[in-house]
Amino acid sequence: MTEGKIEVPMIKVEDLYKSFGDLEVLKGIDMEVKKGEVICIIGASGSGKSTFLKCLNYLEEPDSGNIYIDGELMGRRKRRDGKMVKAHAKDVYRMRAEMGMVFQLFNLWPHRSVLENVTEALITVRKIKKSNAIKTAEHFLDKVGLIDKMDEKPAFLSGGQQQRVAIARALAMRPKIMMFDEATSALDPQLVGEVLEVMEELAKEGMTMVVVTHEMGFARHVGDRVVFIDEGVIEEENTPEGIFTNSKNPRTKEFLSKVLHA
Amino acid sequence: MEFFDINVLREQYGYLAIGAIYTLGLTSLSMLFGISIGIIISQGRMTKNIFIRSISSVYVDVMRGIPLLILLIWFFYGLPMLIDYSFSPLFAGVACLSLKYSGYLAETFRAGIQAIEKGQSEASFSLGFSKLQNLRRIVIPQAFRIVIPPIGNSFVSMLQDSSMVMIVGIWELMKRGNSLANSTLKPFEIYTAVGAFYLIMAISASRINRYLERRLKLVR
Repeated sequence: MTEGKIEVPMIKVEDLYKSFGDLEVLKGIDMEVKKGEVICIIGASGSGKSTFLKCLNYLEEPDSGNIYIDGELMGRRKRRDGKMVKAHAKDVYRMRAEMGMVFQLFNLWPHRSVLENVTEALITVRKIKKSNAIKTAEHFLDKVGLIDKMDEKPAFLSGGQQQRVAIARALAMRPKIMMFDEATSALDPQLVGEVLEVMEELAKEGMTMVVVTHEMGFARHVGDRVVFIDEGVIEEENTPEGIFTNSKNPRTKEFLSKVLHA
Repeated sequence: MEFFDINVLREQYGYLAIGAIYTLGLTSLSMLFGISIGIIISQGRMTKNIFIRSISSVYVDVMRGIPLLILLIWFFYGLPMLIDYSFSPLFAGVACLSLKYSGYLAETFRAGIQAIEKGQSEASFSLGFSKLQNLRRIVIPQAFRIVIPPIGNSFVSMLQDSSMVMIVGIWELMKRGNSLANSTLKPFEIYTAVGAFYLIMAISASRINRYLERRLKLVR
């Protein structure tokens, strides 16, 4: 019955442009992410990768272009007279709650305990009863291996632990998509592994993931597709093998040689 | 001749004490209004709207720059001539103290809110928080802790500035002190007492401020 049904991509980006003042950061990005796919975005600093991610959940407002999350247009709506205008704020909030984001600097709330960091959104946004929120939070803290730290304040955790709490916080909302903005770039090398482990586990479980990363090993082994963004455009997009081993694109090869030799 | 005539104080301390209560009341009321206005102005300073932002900046600069004395004279003696309406001394006193300090307090609130790094709010928004929810649950609880000490300092500062309102005819502590010093011909004793009253109020306020600081740190 559902055979031959065209599945709506989880994320669809059409001709995305974004400038900050005079600086044009995204110059026409097109992308599609299927449900369950793990997309790894690589590229030099300043190439627009983080901005792209933040446009997906409208933390940054694009200048032009369309973003569809699970088929729904993000950030804009069609008025009755046919004109495209800004979306209602509550729709943006609703759609954001379906998308989890993990930041480079963790961004945990310091005045709340680990447990409270995870329950806060459940209680405030999803209006879940506190006792149920705690149960959910404990489940996800256990999943990332930090259940024993639940009453601690974030300041007392290592970077790797804080990032895992941040992941639990995002996962607790049961999002359709998880986005990682250089989630391990601010971590000491020996702490990177524990976070990548959690991310890999998530990928195996079928989560749709968009991962901006410098961890080429992760991109190679966990990514379904690798996207190389250079100066605001997608320079190349392929399977990990296609990018890392068989790329014919000179810019890609130049970038990889710099990064892989570091 | 005695060095210090304690008797004149025994007779007059009640008169001065009432003046101290006036001063305390004046300061407390003005702080309340100053804080309320300050919160609004601080929001204006942080808004995206360039027009509102500019007006708020000008407001802050003017209120911080204009001497309280000038503000009082202009408000109580000048403004009535323009709008053909006269204000009571109490109204003028509270209004001027509130307006002047709202400038300082607005900057205190702005700094406190902006001290909560943008990343925390980005995390809130990425989880689906509304702007209001983020302010209420994440920003203000933390900013609150930051602004308590400066507010306490402003209070102590205003306690002393409040003596300025005697020029519009409010019989607060300093005005009473002046009057007594003239009538009793014992300025040294009277002003010592006046100083003692100010000191007691200021030190008490500082103590309370420090206590609040400590309590807020321990609770969370």
